[in-house]
Order: sequence, then structure tokens, then C-alpha cells
Amino acid sequence: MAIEQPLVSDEYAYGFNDGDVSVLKFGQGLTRQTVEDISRIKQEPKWMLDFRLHALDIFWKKDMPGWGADLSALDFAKIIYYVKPSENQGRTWDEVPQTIKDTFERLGIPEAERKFLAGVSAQYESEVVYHSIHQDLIEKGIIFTDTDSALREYPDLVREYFGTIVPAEDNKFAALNSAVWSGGSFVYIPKNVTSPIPLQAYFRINSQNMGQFERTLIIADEGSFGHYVEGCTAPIYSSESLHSAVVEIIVKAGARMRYTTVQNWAPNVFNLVTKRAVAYRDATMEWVDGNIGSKATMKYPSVYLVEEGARGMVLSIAVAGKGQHQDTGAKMIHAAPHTTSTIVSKSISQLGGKTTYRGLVHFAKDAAGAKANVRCDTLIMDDLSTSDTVPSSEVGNASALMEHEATVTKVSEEQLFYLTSRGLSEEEATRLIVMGFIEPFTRELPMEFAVEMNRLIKFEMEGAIG
Amino acid sequence: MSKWLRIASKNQLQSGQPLLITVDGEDLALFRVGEEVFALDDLCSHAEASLSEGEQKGFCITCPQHGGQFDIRTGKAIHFPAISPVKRYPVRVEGDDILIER
Amino acid sequence: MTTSPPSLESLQQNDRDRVREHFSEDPDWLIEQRINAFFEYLHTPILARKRTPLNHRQFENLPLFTQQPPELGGSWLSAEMSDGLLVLAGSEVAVLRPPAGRTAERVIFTDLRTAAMTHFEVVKPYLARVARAANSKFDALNRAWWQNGVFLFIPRGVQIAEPFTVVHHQVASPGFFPRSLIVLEDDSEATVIDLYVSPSLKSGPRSLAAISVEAVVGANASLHYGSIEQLALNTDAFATRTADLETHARMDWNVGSFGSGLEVSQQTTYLNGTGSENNSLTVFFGSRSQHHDLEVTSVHQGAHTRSNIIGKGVMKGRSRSIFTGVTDIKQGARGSDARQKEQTLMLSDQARADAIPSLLIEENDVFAAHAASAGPVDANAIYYLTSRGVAPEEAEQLIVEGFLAPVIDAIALTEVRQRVWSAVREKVRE
Repeated sequence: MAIEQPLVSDEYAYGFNDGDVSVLKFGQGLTRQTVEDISRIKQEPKWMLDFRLHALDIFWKKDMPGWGADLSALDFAKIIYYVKPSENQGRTWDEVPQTIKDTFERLGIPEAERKFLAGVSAQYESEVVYHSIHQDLIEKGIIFTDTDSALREYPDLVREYFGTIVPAEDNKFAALNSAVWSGGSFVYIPKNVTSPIPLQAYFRINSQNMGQFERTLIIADEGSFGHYVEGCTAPIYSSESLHSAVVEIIVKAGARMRYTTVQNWAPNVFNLVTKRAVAYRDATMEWVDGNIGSKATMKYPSVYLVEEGARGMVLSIAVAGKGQHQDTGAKMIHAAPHTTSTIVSKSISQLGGKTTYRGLVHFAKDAAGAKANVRCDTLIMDDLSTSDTVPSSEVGNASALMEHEATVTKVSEEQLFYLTSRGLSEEEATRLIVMGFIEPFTRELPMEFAVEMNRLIKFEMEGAIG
Repeated sequence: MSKWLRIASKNQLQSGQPLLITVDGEDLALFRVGEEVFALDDLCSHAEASLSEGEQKGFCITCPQHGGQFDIRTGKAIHFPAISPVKRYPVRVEGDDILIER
Repeated sequence: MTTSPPSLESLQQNDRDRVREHFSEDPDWLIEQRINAFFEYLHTPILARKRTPLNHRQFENLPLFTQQPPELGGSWLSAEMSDGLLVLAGSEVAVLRPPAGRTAERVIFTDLRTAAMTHFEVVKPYLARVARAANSKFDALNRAWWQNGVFLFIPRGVQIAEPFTVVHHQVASPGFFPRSLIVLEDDSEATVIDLYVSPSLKSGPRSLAAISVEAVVGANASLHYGSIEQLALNTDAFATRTADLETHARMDWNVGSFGSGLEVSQQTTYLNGTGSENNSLTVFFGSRSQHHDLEVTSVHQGAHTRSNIIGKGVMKGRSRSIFTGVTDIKQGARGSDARQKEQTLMLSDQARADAIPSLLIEENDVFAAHAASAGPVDANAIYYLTSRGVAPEEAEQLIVEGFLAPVIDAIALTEVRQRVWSAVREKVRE
């Protein structure tokens, strides 16, 4: 059954000769041939093939990280690194695990979305909605497409920025992504343009992009404003256990960019992501990052504040349940005077889960008058769960100011008593306390997300109490 | 008080192949492009890594640890994640001798 | 490729002979312990510290001792001979004055080499303990080559108010290995200050110092411990300090780190007993090209244990510091309360201070928090002083001294305290 691609724009079409590439097979494991075939199928320019192959060499040479989540169960030889669109048959509704179906039910996900999210159907009835939104963007000159298309349609623009923020050598998983990346979003907002709507990656997702090695590149030109939103609170079911994405963002002078992610990965997934932004003069970059689920997540959104007046913010939550390890945090690199940064991190570990906050604030010698503020709090819900908080600061300038505070506690007994004595059940009281704990995060989410977040927390807490 | 120290001979250093030299307990990285010689601190400004183990392309050295890049002529950081410069030492070549000022 | 691990038997005979020869006056059991520790030293790799490169230091090439007799230079021998004072120069005891008073009669305060012979039944089990610190290579070095040190034993129920002061003098020798062993039995109390000083701060041959301090604090006992490190700048110093606390025991640390070109220290307090408590204050002052890598750890094993770790640093010149506070709460340490606070005063753009306050928590019924801040001297405080007629450089100096005072003023012996202040003031004016 051929899979239609209703979400993609008219310009994007598989231009290759089906005859040639149909013989290409992608089984498990990664070889040089795999990378060459991926590039061939996508009909990429030579520089991208060279980029991929160079990255592959680096991937082979680099060691696994000596810190962070336990990745010993990750078997590179068993992973399929590319799925040809024509082969992506999807699964039948019967094959979807009952737990996933239950979650959809509880979260009130509409039926059409359920099938889509479960990879059963690539049809999505919002197609009409999508197209009209797309028109709005085109009128303003905003480019919002998938990265494969962008490489074809805007090659010079992509080439100028691709890989400049996260080089392949950065870490083993950035190297892997650089070699086999497929899908992801490309956004360009022209000078002084404000995006009329949040750029929802939801509409960009097709069964190919739900894949493991997304590469996202966002450029906010001078004075522009954009808000990119990805993810959803429904569990992302994936038979592949490795999700290794790279997101590069350039925020030019006076521009502002916010990137919101809320993802709830199924418990078999290793979610290892490199997210990095660079902010220029008086530019602002904000990461709003919600991490729920997955077997192990390693993600440290960072902002390089490289010119005077640049501002960075990371607001993140991490919820680790049974058998899960959320190893997350943030990095703020102050390389110019009068730059400011804020990090707010809220973590919850329950049912034997583990959360680790790992952060860095760096003041280079040039960061005169820079200011950084870090607040990381953790709730350990029960006596099965654990938490580590490992922030670090590196101060290389005498007039920079750094303030950091962190607490680790259980749910306050006084607060519980106060609420239960007013008629709430213990479960309701606990949920309320948890909602209050993550409120700085949920208040920043777009409305529909916030509603779903609340429902998700309610759902997650049910497992935790009693 | 700085002075000129002979630290290596020119025929030890190949064009495009960085060389690690230790002077007074400190590591320096030597680079050659054609007949020109340059010297930088070997320690990358971004992390504890050795620049002399990286790949040199023309006047650009890539740190093998995270891919940061520096201009070997000035020590300036030219590619993320490197942002702070690396110390550069003035170099003089006299015949076969390479001297640096420290 | 696997090779069988080296064995004690494989230790070269001439290495054993070196140890025997150098410590020929020690009892046999102690010589054997030293040989075991030396073996440990040789076969333990140097712990890789992320922010302190150690590869090129080539410690193995340093001769450990010279045969010359020590010269003290007289500067630390004071006419003010108070009680409870021990002055050591290498392995030589220059001054030993026991504590005064009736309650002090049963107290044992002597140099460790002597104690190993006269009180071996108490001392021997402690000297036999293996290095527990992660930095175990240099702890093992001290356990093998310690020249001398102090042994203080406070028997059950005895409380001594007057402090014991120990001056460990770094004589002109490539190796400096002082060792302190302090044992407080139940319900006792004492104050001890270890001072590590050098004839001259600025000159002298390159030297390797491996310092070891061990404290055992019994149930309901309290130990107030202070330490000032003012070794020569040509010294690479490795310090390992550990304390084991029993039920409701209390340990106060006041540590000042001012000297040596390189210092890597690890201080670990094991809160083993229920209700035990640890208050730790570390003050460091980096100037010129000093590099201080200081780690302070509280391990909470017992329930209702408390710890408070404070780090205060002043950075100037091209110095570099790393302060790592580790609060490690094990499962079962219910009702524990652990806090950390770290403040750094930055006086120079060429300096760099790294702080890593970590909380590693395996138990949910706890309260743990940390706070860290770094920045220049508070402009309001400078304004306050200058508007009252104080010159600006003096104002800065006053503020820095105020910052360091809590640790230095804890030294009760006036003349000693004054010497430390004058050395620190010189640093402030540099």
C-alpha cells in the first residue's frame, strides 16, 4: 500500500527514479554504504554526502560518554538507520500495545490522531487546516518546511548554517545524527518579521519524520520573532529504541526565538539530543523543554551568548517514572559583556525513577557585567526514587554575577495536611502540590499543551500514589 | 621578562601536521603551513583536550574533542563550541631552528 | 588483553629495602604497613581530575627525602610557649608541651612516631586502615612515607577547652608527609589546629606534599578542627582528610587553603551514626598562578544526620580554583538535612573559579539544598566604607579580610594567628 504524504507541501516530491532506488535495502546496522545510499535516495548535493561521511568516521572514532545515563543496552548493530518512505507500511491498529491505546483514551486524544500517532495511518484530517496556515507563512516570507526539502529548495541558505553550531565532533550522537539524519524542520524568519502563529512541528510530522535522527535548523534573522512548538503529550510509540536528534538555532541581533518541546517517550526509547542556540546582540533565545518518559534521556539545551545584551533562558521539567532516567539540564555560555541567562529546572522522580540535573554556567573572560541565575528543584515522590543535582559554574570574569539555588525534597507533609484537612483526598492533594511545583513551566506552554500537560500529570500521578 | 627559546627544529615539523612540544612543563602545539610556523597553547580553551591531536586544514585547527576550531595565526576561536581564544606565542625561524618568545 | 594484577610479592625487593632503611627505627609491624601502603601507592593510578591536568607533573621522578638535617629558620618557634603545642620539622620533634590541667592528665598528645611505639594498641588499627578516598594514590603515599605527625587521644567523658596546636614545618626537602590521627572517645570534646607552614613561601626547591588527617569522633563527642595550609609555592600538595562520626557525634572543620602552587584536597565526613552532624567551612585564597582543586564531601548514612558545607574563595592574579561540594545521602538516612553554600569573590579577570555543588540523593525523606554565588566585591559595601573616609584599596582589603576572618580567627594562639594574618595580608596586597 503506497503511503500518501498529505502533510507536505506541493513542492516536495520524491523526484528519484523508483526503479533505481527500489533495490536499495536498509537492514540493521550502519555501514558507509548505508550513508551513501541515504544521500543517494535524497539526491543530495556532494557537500552533504561528504559531510555525512566525515561524520561517520568521527562516529566510529568517538567514545561513548563516560557520564550520564546508562546506555549499555544500546546496540548500534541492531538499529535500522533509515526507513524508505515507500516501505513504511505502518502497523495495524491491532498491533498497537494496549497500554498505548489506554493512554490515548485517558488523554482524550481524538480518534484520527490516535491512529496517526500510533503509526497506523499517515492520514491526518487536519490537512485542510495545515494548508491555510501555510499560506499565512508564505505571505510573510517565512520558510517552514522539512529539512530534506529545504536542502533541495534553499541549498545556499542551508549550507551557510548547517553544522555551524553543532559540529559532528561535538559528541558521539551528534556525529551519528550528522551521518544519518533524515527529516526534522527547517525554519527561516526574515528580518523584522513576526511569525503570526506558533510553528507547530505537529503539522510537519509525517511517518518519516517521526523517526529517530531528525535534524532541525532554525534561523531567526535580525529583529524577527518566532515560536516553534514540537511534540505532544501522547506517548510516542517507536519500535526503534534510539532517538538522536540535533537542533541548531541562530538568533540574530534583536531577534527572539522560543522553542517549546513537550515529549513523552515510550519506555523503551533512548532519547539523546543535542540542542544548541547562538544568540547575537540583544537577541533572546528561550528553550521550554518538557521531558517525560523514555528509558533514558540525555538533553542539555544550551545558549551561546556571543554578543552584548544577548539573553538566554531554559525552563525545563523532567519526570522520571519506573525504570526511567532523566539526565537533563542546561548550559549557558556567556562570551560577551552584559549578557544574561536564567535557568529554571523542575524535576520529579517517582516509582523508582531517577532524575539528574546537569548544568553549566560559563563566564568567559569577556563576559563583563554578565548575570546568570539558576534555580533547580527536585521532588522525590517516594522512597524508591533518587535524584542527583550536579550544576557547575565556571567564572572567568571579575564583574560577572552568578547566583544559583537548588533544593531536593519530598512532598511537604505540612502542605499535604493543609489540603487534606480541607477535604481533598491524598491523591488529589498530591496532584495539586505537583501541579504547583511545575507551574512555572506549564504557565509558559501554549494553551492546548497546557491542558494536555495537566491531564498527563494527573495520569502519571495515578501510578504514583497509594 | 620574555626571551626567545629554541624549542624545535624545522625539519621536525611537517606542513599540515601539528606537533606537540613541552617547554618548562607546559605543552605547546606547533603548526606549519608551507614555510610559515605558528605556536599556540596546546590546551584547548573549551575543554581539557590537546589541539596538537586535532586535524589541521590550512590555517584552521579543529579540536578533536568537540570540534571547536581556532585560527592558528591568531589563536582566535572561529567555530563553536570554542568561544575563547587560545594563547599564541610569537615565532621566529632562524635557519633550521624554531624559536618562540615566552 | 588481561594481565594478572600485581601482587605484594612482586614489589621489588629494593623498594622494600628503601622503606626498611628509611624507617629502621620503627617497629616491624609499622614497617610492614608502610610497605603495604607503598605497594598501594605504586599500583594506584593518579585519579584523573577533569579540571586539573596532572599528567605532566611526573611525581615519580621526585626524590622523596634528602639526608640533610632540617633547618627550621626559627620563625615558628615562639617565645610564647603555650600548653598543648607540638612543633614538628620533618620527623624531628622541635617542641612538645603537653596540655595543662587535671582533666588533661589522661589525654595522650604526642608525636605519631612515638605513639606508634608507646600506644601501639590504640594507634596500630588506625594506621592499618586502607585508603578510602578516591584520591587514594596520594593518601597511600602518605601512609607509606609519613615522617611524623600528631596523635591525640581524648578518653571517654573528658572535655578540653584549650586548643591543641600542631605546627607541621615543611623543611627544605623534596617530600613532605605529615600525618594526623585524632581519636575522641564517647562524650568527649576537644579543639585541634593543624598548621602546615614553610620557611619561605616564595622560594625553595620543588616539593611534593601528601598530607593525611584522620579523625574518629565517638558517640556524643565533639571535635572542633582547624587547618591552615601555607606551604611554599613550589609545592604540589595533596591532602586527604577524613572523619568518621558515631551517634550524635559532631565535627566542625575550619580549613584555610592559602599556599602551594598546586593543591588537590579531599575532605570526607562519614556521618555513620544517627543524629551525627558535620559543619564544614573551607576558605581558599588564590593568587599568582595557584591552582586549588578542593573537594568536600558529606556522606549521610545514619538517620537524622545534618551537614552544612560552606566554601568561601577569593581569587586574584591568574589563579584557578575548583570547589566541589558533594552531599551524598544514602538510602536509609531518613530525616537528614544537608545544605551547601559557596561564595567566590573575584578580584581579577585573569582568574577563574569553578564551583560544582552536587547533591546525590538516594533517600526521599530528606531536605537538601545548595546555593552558590560568585561576583566582584559588593559595590555597596565599598561605598559604605569609602563614604566613611576609608581609601578605596583599603576598603577592598577590609572586605576581603572580613571574608577570610572566620577561619583565621579560629586559631586561638595569638602569635600563630598573627603570623597567618600577616602572610594573608601580604597576599591581599600583591
